[in-house]
Amino acid sequence: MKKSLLLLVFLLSACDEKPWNNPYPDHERGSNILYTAFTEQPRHLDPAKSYMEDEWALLANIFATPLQYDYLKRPVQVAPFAASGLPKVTYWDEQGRPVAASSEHIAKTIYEITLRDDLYYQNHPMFGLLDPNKQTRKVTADDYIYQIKRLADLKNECPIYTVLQNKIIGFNEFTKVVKKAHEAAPEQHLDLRQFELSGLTKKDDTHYAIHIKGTFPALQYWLTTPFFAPLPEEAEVYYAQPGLMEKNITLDFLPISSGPYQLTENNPHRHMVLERNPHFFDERFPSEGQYYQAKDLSQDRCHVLINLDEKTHCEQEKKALSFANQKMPFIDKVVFSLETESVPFWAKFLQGYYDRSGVAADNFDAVIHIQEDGSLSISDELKQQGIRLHQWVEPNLYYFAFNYRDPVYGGSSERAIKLRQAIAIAFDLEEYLTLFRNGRGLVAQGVVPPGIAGEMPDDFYDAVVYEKIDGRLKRRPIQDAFQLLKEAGYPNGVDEKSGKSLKVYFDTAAAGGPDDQALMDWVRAQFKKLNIELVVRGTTTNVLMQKLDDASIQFFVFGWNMDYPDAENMLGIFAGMNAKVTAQGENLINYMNDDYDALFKEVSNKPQTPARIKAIQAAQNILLKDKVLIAAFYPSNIALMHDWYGPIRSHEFANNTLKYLKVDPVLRADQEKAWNAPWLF
Amino acid sequence: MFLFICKRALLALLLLIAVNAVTFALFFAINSPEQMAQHQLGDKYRNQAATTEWLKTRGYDKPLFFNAEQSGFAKLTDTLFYKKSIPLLVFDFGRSDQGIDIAAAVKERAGPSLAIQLPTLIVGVLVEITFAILICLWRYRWQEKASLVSLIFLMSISGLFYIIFGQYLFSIIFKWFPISGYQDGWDVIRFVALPVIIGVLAGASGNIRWYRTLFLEEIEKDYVRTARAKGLSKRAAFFKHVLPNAMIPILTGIVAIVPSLFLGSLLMESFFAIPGLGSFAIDGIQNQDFAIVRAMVYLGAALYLLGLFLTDISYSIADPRVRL
Repeated sequence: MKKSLLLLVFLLSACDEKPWNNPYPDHERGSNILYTAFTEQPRHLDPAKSYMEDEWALLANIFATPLQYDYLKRPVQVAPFAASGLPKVTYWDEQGRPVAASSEHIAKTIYEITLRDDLYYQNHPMFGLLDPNKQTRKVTADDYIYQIKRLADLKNECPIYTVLQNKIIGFNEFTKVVKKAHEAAPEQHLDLRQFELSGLTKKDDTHYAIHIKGTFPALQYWLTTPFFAPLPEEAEVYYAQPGLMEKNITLDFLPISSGPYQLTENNPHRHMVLERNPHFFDERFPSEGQYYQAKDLSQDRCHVLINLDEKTHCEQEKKALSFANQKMPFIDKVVFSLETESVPFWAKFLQGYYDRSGVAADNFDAVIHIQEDGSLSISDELKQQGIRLHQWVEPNLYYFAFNYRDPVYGGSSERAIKLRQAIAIAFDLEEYLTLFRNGRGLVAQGVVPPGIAGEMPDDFYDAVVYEKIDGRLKRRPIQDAFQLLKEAGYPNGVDEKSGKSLKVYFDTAAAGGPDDQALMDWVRAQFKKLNIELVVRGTTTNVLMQKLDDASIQFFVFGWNMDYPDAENMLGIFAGMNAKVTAQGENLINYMNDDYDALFKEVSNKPQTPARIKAIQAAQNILLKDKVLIAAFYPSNIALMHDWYGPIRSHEFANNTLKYLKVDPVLRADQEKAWNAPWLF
Repeated sequence: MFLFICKRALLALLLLIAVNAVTFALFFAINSPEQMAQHQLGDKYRNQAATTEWLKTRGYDKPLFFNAEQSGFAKLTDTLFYKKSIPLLVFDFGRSDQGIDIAAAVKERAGPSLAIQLPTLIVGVLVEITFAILICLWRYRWQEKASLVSLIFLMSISGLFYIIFGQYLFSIIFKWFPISGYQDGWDVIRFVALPVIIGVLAGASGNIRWYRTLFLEEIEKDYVRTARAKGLSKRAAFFKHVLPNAMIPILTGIVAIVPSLFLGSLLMESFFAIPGLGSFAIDGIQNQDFAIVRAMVYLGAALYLLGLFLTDISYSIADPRVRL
């Protein structure tokens, strides 16, 4: 009896040591692990195929790309990563003579990349195929070249094939040769090393060059992406072995690391685990930011800043720089768990089992408070838990627009422009952001997001839609919209020629759910203000895309996530040469304007200069003058973090940010214990 | 018996072919292969060459049901339907359109689904039969009325509510179980306990009422009245005669659903982050991955037919009057 009692007491005390609702293995408690989640299973982890944000959240931390984004410096700029320095860029004319970057006669640009001498792959059995004692090997220039060749092989379905095909010299020719070789032996593995891609040259194991037709300033940004990561030539041979594919052991499932982390477990319907790559080179936390250098930390400069955003950034940077020059990565292991539902995800965050979380619309009002000055703060309960709030504007643009080829609402005639201007005044975007996005969005006065060179000045606004009253922007009264309608030939929303009322067809893939219904009702109400009838045509995403492809659409909503921090990437979605209907490009609106196209060409081909920035702003003014977009906004995002997680410094473009993060596992374990004591009657 | 098995197997084959054909027609009535390709390749920087290559690599460049360009029998065999359907008949699911080996994925995900479904079924049946018996024993008393009203009330509540309320109560308030997740080994008990409890509670009310009806139907038969008239006690008559006879439809009903337990439960697995098969078909539909959709529909139909077949067999074993 005594023994039984002792056992019971022992069991109860043992139970008391650890929370019962801990979703992780007990042996991981107090370990240097970051716990995060993913909501959608990655489709591809092959660096030639992957192009989803969720996938890059993993891949960018696995590969040593030639370049990366500087973590602290703003405006966003690239920095060396696997390269020992920034690429040496030289410009050449038709005759093969070197010319200046500003020259009008650039026929070719060469990017020469010098790699670090201490790059190694993770341990992998493929390296032991020839020599059983070998577990890793050095990363060489051949591996970077091999991966670029893979981008040109149509079999790999590279999502940015069209971006590169007319830029890298010999890219198209290589594609044709490889395609023929595939057709000759369709079932066999094809060794791409045997084919030459003339735009890629290798000097030695640490030097290679990419030869570009004309100029391609955006290449520096693409060099930060997994597309340009190294791939050991042995990998495809290894994974082509019989039997591996049947066990889902493929390059698309288990990428080979050359970066700070390696993927040690990939179970995409449960969890994915990254662990420290023991062969990652000695990389240190940056010591220089926008406001500070590590040595200046003692001087508190943040208090002299007036702008609230700058002050916040400054404080964050100051804290981040306390890690300056420390060896990265800091965290040993990162566990990504699949959470498809927001309820358990949020509960686990509050229980301390996730280190960071977003805020779902369901919880927003309960946990986020909007202050009088428009800034956000979190509830007292969250503050007591030591949770902190971080907010940032994403470099994306969501817009409502008409198809520019539409006979009534499209085109550059004065009538059509005035009609669109009238609708833009009635379309209360501020209300939309409040009702449907919890205020998480910034009304776009131009199209280049904040923080990107070429954004419109702070005091700039669309004078057709807004007026400034007492220093604050206010949407113009609806009477102004009716006046514009009248001038356009549609008094009170009626075509004065035909006598028919105006009607708009809104094609959308989001018209099924209860939330969607509220949104559709709201959009209808905006048009109703001008006596225009809006007809919502709910459809599937496939049909919507088809309608956009053949321009058989009238009014729609869409978005663009910038690929890199250059305004050219955003301006491209309005360029005539990218029109969807004529060039299968990304200009879904099918906007055409020769002046705009000329400015876009100038922006595309030139390096960043004050003249280029002027051209970017002039291009935006043309878009505004033609009223191409009815309404547009830059979405903003919110993250909540526990106090054992840091530093808080978001980067709008970098995905390889895990290496900069730290957690305090002891504090976390203590808090988890305190917050999750089981209720024992 | 052998003839019966042969007949049923042939019928099952024809049904499976029909199911496959209907899945084919429905899927491609909504999506063309080109749209599937474009969806898989993404919205940005789309190009025709990549789409063509995607279709060719996966065999979607062939006509759906009839190839007019071919001659003879090849008009039917050199088609998408034929090429994709024939391997299915021998359960060769092939690779998904994203490149995953479907059989390997099914094998891996069936385990976690079973880890929830099987205990839910066993515990559920035990609980349901026990309560049904109790209600029968309370016949014409106030407890019976109270139980029936409670059961109707519980039946009216959505399954989703059981899940959310269960998670809130047991994981957030009591902090007894992880709110979601899954681990291997003995640790699995901590993760499946809550879904099993909720699964049992959510499904119990309907089944208790059904089992009660079966028991009452049996109680009112002549042979029970005769047994009671001969002096057998109410309890003895119930447990010796009523229960074994009433169990026949219950057990055969259970046998029918056993094969489909492998397919898991979408809601339960989604809310508890169980890496089972419940969401596999839905993921396939959302990703427009036809290979997964047809494999899962085919597997579901095959398991359902297997369940019906096992029901027939179990009937013949449980009830000597039934001859196959």
